[in-house]
Amino acid sequence: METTCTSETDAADQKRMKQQQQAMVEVEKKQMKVMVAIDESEGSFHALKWVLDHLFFLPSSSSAGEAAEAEPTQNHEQGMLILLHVQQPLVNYFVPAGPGIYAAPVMMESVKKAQEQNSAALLARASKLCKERQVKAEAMIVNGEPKEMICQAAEQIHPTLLVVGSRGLGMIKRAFLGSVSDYCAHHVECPILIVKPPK
Amino acid sequence: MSQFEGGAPTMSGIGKLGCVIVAVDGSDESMDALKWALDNLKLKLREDDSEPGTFVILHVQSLPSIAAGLNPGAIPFGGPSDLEVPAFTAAIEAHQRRISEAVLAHALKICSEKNVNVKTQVVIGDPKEMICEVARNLHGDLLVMGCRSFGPIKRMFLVREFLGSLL
Repeated sequence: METTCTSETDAADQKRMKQQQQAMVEVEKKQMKVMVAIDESEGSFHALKWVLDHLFFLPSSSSAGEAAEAEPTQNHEQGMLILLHVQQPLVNYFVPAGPGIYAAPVMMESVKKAQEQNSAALLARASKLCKERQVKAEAMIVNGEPKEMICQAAEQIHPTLLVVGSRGLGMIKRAFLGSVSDYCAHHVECPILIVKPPK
Repeated sequence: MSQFEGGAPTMSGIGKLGCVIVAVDGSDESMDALKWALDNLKLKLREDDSEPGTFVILHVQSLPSIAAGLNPGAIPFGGPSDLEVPAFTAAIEAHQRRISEAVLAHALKICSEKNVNVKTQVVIGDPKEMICEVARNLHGDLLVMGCRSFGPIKRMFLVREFLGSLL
C-alpha cells in the first residue's frame, strides 16, 4: 500500500513539474514586447497611459490566494515596454549677419546638452509612469527623423506592438504638416496601435 | 491546468479592455488581425458591477447598388426593366447575406478555439464610414483591422479601408 502511494505522489509531482515547465515556456513565448514612441507631446504620453491602463494589468487583490503561486509567472506575463524617443538632429544655423559668423561650437554644445537633458527628463517621466503600474520598461534613444527612426527601430526590435500617439489633425492639416502616425501606419511591418487624443 | 482558475491561464480576461471591435471582410489579413487580437489582447473579467469585456466582430456589407455595379436608370436598352429591379436587388441582397454569413462563420470558428466572449454585427454601407460609426456607437476601447500594405499608388486608386482614412 505504502509503496504504491509514494510512487503515485512521485508521478503526481513529476506531472506538476512538467506542467509548470510547460506553463513557463508558454508564458515566455507569449510575453508581449510593446514599443511606445514618446516625444514632448501630450498625445504620446496619453498613448503611454492608455497602453498601461488597457494592455497591462495589475495583479488583482481578489485573486491573492491563487496568486501566491501564480505571482512569479504573472509578472512574466506582464510583458515589457520599450520607450522609444527620437531626438531630432541639430541643424547648423547660419546667421548671415556678416562674413564668418556662424553658430559657434560652444553654442552647439549647449544646445545639444539641453536636448539631452530634455530627453532624459521625458524618459524619466515615462519610466515613472511604468513603475507605478509595476510594468518593466526599457528606454531607447535614437537620433534622426522621427517617422523613419520609429520604423527602423520597429524593424530591429520586432515588438509585438508599436504604439504611437496622434495629434488628431484633420485631413488638410495632416497633408501640410505631415503625420508621423500616418507614415508609421503605412510603413511599419509589425502591428501598430494609434491612440487618439482624448476629446 | 491546476494552478490557474480561469481556464486558459494567460488569456482568460484579466485585463481592462471592455469592448474590442475587430473589422473583418473575409480577407486573410483581417482574419490574421482577428487571430492577433485574440492572442494578444486581454479583456475585462466578469465583475459584479460591470459587463465583461467582449470582442465584437464587425462585417460591413457594401451597398447593393455598388455590388450590382450598375445604376438601373442609366442603361437605356440594356438595363433591367422596372419589374425586374426588385428581384434583382433581392438576389444581390441574398448573395451578400451569404457572403457575410460565410465570413462571420469563419471568424467565429477562429474565436471558438479561444475561450472568449464574442458578438457579431453586420452593417450595410461604405466600410470606412460604417466602421467609424459602429466604433462610436459601441464606445469601443480598441478597433482592430488588417492591412493589405498597398503602396501609395495602389492606395490612391483602389477603394479600400485603411487606417489613414479613419484617422
